[in-house]
Amino acid sequence: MSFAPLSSVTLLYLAKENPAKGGSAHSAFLAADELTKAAKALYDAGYHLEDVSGLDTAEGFVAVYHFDHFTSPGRVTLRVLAPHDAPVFPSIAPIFQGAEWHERETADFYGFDFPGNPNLVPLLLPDDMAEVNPLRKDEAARAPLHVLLKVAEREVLFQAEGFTLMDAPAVEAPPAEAPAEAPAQAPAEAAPPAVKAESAPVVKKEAPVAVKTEASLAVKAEAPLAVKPEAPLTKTEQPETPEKTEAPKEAEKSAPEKKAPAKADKKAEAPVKKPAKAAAKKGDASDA
Amino acid sequence: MHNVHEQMRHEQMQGDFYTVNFEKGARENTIILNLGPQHPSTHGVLRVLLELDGEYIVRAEPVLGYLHRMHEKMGEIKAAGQYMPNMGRVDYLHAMAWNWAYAGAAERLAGIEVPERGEYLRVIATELNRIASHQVWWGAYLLDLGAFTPILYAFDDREHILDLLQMISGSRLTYSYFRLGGVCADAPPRFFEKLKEYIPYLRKRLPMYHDLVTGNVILRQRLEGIGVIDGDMCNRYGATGPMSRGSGVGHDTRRAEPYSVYHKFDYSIPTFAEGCCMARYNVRLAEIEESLKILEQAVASIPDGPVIVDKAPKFNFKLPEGEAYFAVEGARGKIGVWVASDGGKNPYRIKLRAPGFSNLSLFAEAAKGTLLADAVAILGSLDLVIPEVDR
Repeated sequence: MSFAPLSSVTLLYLAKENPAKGGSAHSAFLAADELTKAAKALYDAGYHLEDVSGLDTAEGFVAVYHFDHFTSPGRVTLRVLAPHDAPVFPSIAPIFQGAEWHERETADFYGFDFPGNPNLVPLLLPDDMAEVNPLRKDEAARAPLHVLLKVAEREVLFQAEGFTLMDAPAVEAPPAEAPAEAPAQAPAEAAPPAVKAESAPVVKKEAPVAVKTEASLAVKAEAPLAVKPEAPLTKTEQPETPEKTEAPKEAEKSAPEKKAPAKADKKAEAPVKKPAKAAAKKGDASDA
Repeated sequence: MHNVHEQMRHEQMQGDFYTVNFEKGARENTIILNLGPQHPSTHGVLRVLLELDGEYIVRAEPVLGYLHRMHEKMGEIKAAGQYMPNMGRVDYLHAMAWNWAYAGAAERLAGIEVPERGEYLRVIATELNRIASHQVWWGAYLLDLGAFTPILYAFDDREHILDLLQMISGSRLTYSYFRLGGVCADAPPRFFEKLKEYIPYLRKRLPMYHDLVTGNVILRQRLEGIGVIDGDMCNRYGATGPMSRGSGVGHDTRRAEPYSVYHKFDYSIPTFAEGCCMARYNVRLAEIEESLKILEQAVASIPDGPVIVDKAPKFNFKLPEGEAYFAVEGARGKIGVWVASDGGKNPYRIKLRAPGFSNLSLFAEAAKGTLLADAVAILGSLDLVIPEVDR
């Protein structure tokens, strides 16, 4: 690692960027329990807090922290990923007191929890809107991290083993023209679950969505990345396998839920798929 | 009926959610005072809960959200080109800078280069708007402190700027002058004539500003040494703009993260080390002069050519995949817009970093232990625009 202020912190990912292209000079991913340590290191190096915000992605919730330096400018972006069912990030308000409000705002918009924040009550939204998190996305609308955080001229300085969030998945199948035909063209690994999905009537609705992401990835990522066919299974595909194998059991249970409003739907579904995802994330973290 | 009224009265006595929460931490023999949201010194609808021991402030807590409009969500349900009018409404005093922050982020993401004349017009519009913002602050701040006359002079001089900006943008307050790739229209020749007249006019007026109030002993005693903020506090709260420059931190986004054509102009970054309200006052008045310098050079050297890029993005422009952060120097500090896109119809995420939000967040610490009247002086010296704080 060659970014001095964060040299004492265990990172998952560190990249040097061209500020004229993406706005940041350095960006890093780290585990939640390293966050306060990183904030302390940046504070000691004379950085100030610009803002704290969130991002709802296909892989989970991301808390995004922007720091900058008054005398030697260069934005540093810290990112912490948490699963959708447990968006918990330790508060950095004890170090950067200004973070208290930023975290409260992010808690309003995304429903994140920031243990350690001295006064985590609603800031911008009314106190009776605690259950409403306006910036959360529907399952189908979530985009993967490597798409959202794409930046020209990013040089990866360090990447922990098993950290694949920022890698675009390798493309194995030709891009599908229509989502309806997609299951037939799905890559070999994904084929068995797709067949099972067909036998369960309810999940059918989900199948095109999943495959659509893959198809769009295939289209977008074709140029630089199509060369590595034997790359390991990617984040986007992994969690689906357990979901779909479980799906037949849940068939009659989730049928009426589809008609319920999105919010209730999300909550009811949570116990079904979240454990699988959480486990996947956990595995990653410990790998690193 | 009677019971309902009784219950309402009881609830009013209890206070709302924030009062109840605030009272939990109160000491004995203190008074809880609710300042705002309709108090004239709060410039809009800021509410501050205060715990007072006599006339001294034990604890202060601003309560936000009265002007919250969820601009960030609006960014996700509109196409990228349709979001610009929102920017004029985030900070109504320095709308041009917000225009720029968003346009800059979208252009950085899409890799759009703005023609040079467009950049010059952006600089001219933003600097004019910065002067107007500081003039409003100057008048309103002194009004807070009990001087009525200055605001009349400030608004008189600002009126000329509004006329000028109306000539190029069509509106007087909530500008939507910027477009992705440039500005919406070229300035008419009359605009430059009027601007060339205005620069020496305001130069002549500025000494009058100082003669009228700056040296006034009452003002100085109310501002000097009050609300001292140091560089470390700016780091911890992320205070920028005149806040940090009044604390000896010579940081200006126009220099730190050079954008547009600012590098072509000769201007300085006024910095005062005292950290008190008077230092912030001096920074802002000095900035008016620096902006006039930039304007003078820009008007003299503006090149001919297009003001917007060829085949400029239409309203339904789709941002390419990826993220971009763009910061500009607003009248209140560093304005940042972070855009992330998945290549879809609308932007995926737009985060607005409002300088006023970070600046206000240090009020609780700065006001602790001061007199109530000094807290009003500190609050005013933050140069708050509540729509920007709440977004």
